Amino acid sequence: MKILKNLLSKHTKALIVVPILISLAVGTGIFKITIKDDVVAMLPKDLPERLVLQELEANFGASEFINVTIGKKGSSVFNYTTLSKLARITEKLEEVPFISRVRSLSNASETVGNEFGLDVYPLMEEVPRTPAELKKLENSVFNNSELVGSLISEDKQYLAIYIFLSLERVDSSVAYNTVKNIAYKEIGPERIYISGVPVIAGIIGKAIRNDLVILIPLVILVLVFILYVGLRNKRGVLLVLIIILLSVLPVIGLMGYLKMPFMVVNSAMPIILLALSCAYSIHIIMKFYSAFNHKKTKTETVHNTMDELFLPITATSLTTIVGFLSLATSPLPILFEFGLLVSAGILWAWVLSITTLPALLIVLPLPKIAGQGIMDEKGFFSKVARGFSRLTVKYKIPVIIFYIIITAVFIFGLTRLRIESRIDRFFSKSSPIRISDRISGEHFGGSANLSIIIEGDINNPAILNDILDLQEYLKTIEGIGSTTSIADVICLLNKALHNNNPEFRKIPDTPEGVSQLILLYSMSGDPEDFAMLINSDSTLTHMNIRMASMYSIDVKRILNKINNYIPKNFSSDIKYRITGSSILTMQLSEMTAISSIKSILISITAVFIICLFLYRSIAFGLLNIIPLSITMIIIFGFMGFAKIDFSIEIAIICSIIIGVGIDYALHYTSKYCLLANKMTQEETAIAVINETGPPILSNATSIALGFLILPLSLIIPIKSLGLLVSISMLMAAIVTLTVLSSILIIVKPKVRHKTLIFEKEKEA
Amino acid sequence: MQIKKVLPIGAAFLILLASVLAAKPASEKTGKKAKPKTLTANEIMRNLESRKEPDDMISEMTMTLICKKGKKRVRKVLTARKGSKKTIMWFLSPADVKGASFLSMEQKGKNNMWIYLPALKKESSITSHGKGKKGYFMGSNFTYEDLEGRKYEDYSYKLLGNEMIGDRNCYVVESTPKPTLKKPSYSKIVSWIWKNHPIPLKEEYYNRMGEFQKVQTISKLKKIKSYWIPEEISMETVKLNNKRKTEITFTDIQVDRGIEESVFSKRSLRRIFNRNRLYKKKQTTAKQEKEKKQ
Repeated sequence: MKILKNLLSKHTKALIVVPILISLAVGTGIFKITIKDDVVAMLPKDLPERLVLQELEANFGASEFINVTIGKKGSSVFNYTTLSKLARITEKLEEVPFISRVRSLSNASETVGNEFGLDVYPLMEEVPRTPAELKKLENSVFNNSELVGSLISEDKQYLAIYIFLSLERVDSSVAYNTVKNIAYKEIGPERIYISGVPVIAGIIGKAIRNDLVILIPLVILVLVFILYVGLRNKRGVLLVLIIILLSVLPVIGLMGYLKMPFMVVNSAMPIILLALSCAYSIHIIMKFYSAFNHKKTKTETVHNTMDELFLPITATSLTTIVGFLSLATSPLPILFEFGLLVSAGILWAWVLSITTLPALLIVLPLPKIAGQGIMDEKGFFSKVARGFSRLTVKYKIPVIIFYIIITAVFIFGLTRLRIESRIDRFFSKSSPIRISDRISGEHFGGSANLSIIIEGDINNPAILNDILDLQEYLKTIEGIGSTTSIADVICLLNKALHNNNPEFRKIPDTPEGVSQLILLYSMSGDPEDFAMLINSDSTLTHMNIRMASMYSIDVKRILNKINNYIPKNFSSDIKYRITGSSILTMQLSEMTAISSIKSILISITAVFIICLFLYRSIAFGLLNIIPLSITMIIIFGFMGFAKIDFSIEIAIICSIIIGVGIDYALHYTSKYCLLANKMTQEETAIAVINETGPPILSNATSIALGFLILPLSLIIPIKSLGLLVSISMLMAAIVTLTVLSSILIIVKPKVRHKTLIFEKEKEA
Repeated sequence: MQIKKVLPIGAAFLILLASVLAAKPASEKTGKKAKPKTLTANEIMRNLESRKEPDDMISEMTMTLICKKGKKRVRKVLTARKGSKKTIMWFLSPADVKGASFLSMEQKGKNNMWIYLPALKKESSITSHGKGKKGYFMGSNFTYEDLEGRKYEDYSYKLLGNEMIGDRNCYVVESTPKPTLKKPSYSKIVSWIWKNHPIPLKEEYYNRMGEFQKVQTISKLKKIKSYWIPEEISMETVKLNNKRKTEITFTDIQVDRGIEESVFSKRSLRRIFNRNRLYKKKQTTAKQEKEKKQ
């Protein structure tokens, strides 16, 4: 404290210039910021399923594709205009450098056997015009069971184009825009739907960019409004604004320099930091203005202000940091980074609030309002606080019973909480992407992918027959669409080789027969198709399973079925691995759940220990964590009832509730300790609520208002994040003010130690 | 409709042999003594395309695929070709494809191909009307297009300079596809072409995103009769996530032996020929004697 005061009086200018320069220097990293949008990037690099996905992509190329569906309900696609649209789109897409492969009816080839031998020909060399030509195409398409349900819908109303991006990952939003620009030119009367994991990722990327550019300024605007209401002078508002911008800027800059991209989860980080860090400066400025009188110099007033506020500000930033640091225990890199970044941001906000801000206050001239006493006894929050104090004193027992019932009800809601990370829930059901996804799902078996890599001697007919059986088995599982495997291809080729005799639609009896068909296939048809299904030495193959995007719980059910089936039914020695975006999202859900529970426990324990240290009392340690525990139960129980999925971004809410909610409790209990034993329990409670109520309520309201901007986001999880944080902040404030008073009046715990936090105030 | 064939391996081989391997007959002043005059990029590439090829060729080809982890897979074939239109090949190993054979013939502008798969006791013709050629050849990292060679008119050329490959002096020429070339596979190709004989000793391929993708190297050349024939070619994909390599070596190369027309028929597919029976003994003997006399 002495050091700080010394610095403040002797090196005032350095305290202003140095931190500002540091902020700006680190802040230059803002120009290096990148935006990333895939689920995979959120998972640990060494997660087995992620490694398997890499293996899959290294051996067989990109596994996810963009899906374009063209068609019009109620009319057949077998007409010249629709087919030429398909051909034009396919042709243009093939020209795009980062698209490695395009599959559609217009570039598909067919291998057919006849009495002379095999015939491999393109289905549509020219777009058919005459009714006869159209009929011929229709017949050959529907003679080929592989194409129906994959390139054309069974009801002939829709055509599909599959677009595979080159392995060197391109920015999903660029890919999506390119495909959209090409495809949408052909819109009308046919409708065009674009879906697939890269599309969702692309839209998310765009939405994140939009959020960062539009929402941050909006939040700042809201904060300015709130600050003006609280401080009622422009200079104060400007000062707080400078301090919070200087605290957020270097954190974003740090992300740029450390190459941490913005993703869905951390895109809310600047807003969270803005909302949380403004409290410190507000406190200092308010105290300074109200404490100032013309008998003292500015420096003296600043010293007094800091005397009084240094400890509480330090304690509250410490607890907030603890709340966010608990995220750093997460195995999910995204949460780990998020926890560290926000903690660093709050630490920096604390440094700026105790150095640069007071130094600025010393240097700058005073506003008129200073010294006139700002705390308004008749203010709105004071009225609300008085209401609470009357309520809790009068109805202390009913209040406690009310909370017990509420908590019990919401614990029930907690059991209904669904943990889910599927990415299409980022958008509302009526959004174009969800509609496209649904159309593609209805007609082409869904746009989610599951891949089984099978390692073994693939030329062994027994393994191939096992693969065929597995495919038959998969067809019986609900939610699974079409499957593709090398075994299918071998059967078809065998049949074609034997003059299209359906009896030969089977795996040859000998490994040599299989090898030679594979050899034939590697040289015929589409060699790219081949490379997507089997590696060059026939030791690795992959089966692709298309399914409707589904909830993690369903994915898990399917996964269990497959894992039960393969070891029991495969006769030969194979190894298999399952991966795919839906499995990775399921992993994400599970890891989020585990890591959130861990974070909550760790941070509550840490906060409890801090309170033990501050109060030297187990009772007060427990009291401090009661309000935030109740708040969390209510919020997550509410999510269970309201069917809001618990996912990675919601994990952040826990940190906010703990980190900020504990501040309210600390405020309350430390004031209680100061006033305890001087009056009756009831009087003490009333006094504590009246005194701590207004700042707690105004702080909660300003954070809540700040976060109420987030529902303007285009991304549903960010919307719910904003709404839930707003509710939780108000809830934490109300719970603190009501439940703590009621308990304290009844329990009357012994105050062993005057709190460290407000010691100075006591002396004063 | 530029290229009618995508699948015929025979055709691919034929093209491989015709355009990558075969070299212009060595002039009398061979080796480093010859002082080549400086040519323009266009002249260099024109020479490359118009170099003279052997009339026919017999060789044993070994193709080794080396995957990322260093695992190798070897395939051996005996191949014979005549002119630029007829190719036949028999698989010698591995055991599971031994005896499989392919015959490819271009007749009246149409490419016909026959295959024989002994394990299925099945002989069949394959008619392909495909249009693509970007597929990989026999599971290697050579695409059909790489093997086929590029058409002179499709690219613009720039001479980047001179460089040594081993002790061979080379022109370094950059080829970029002209806008008229539909769907080019590469954004550019840099070739090191031996100054003494128009053979690309090294070629670097850049993918459509402009990234260095793979490199082809001819590591061993042999002078047979009047031709310089590459004996070892490799193609290495350098991109980290997809590192792999294909090595092709040719042994027992014989050129201009006068292969019998009857070799290129469906009947030849069912048995691997003794290579001596591929050409007319008498004529060959006469030719050999002639050579001896020389």
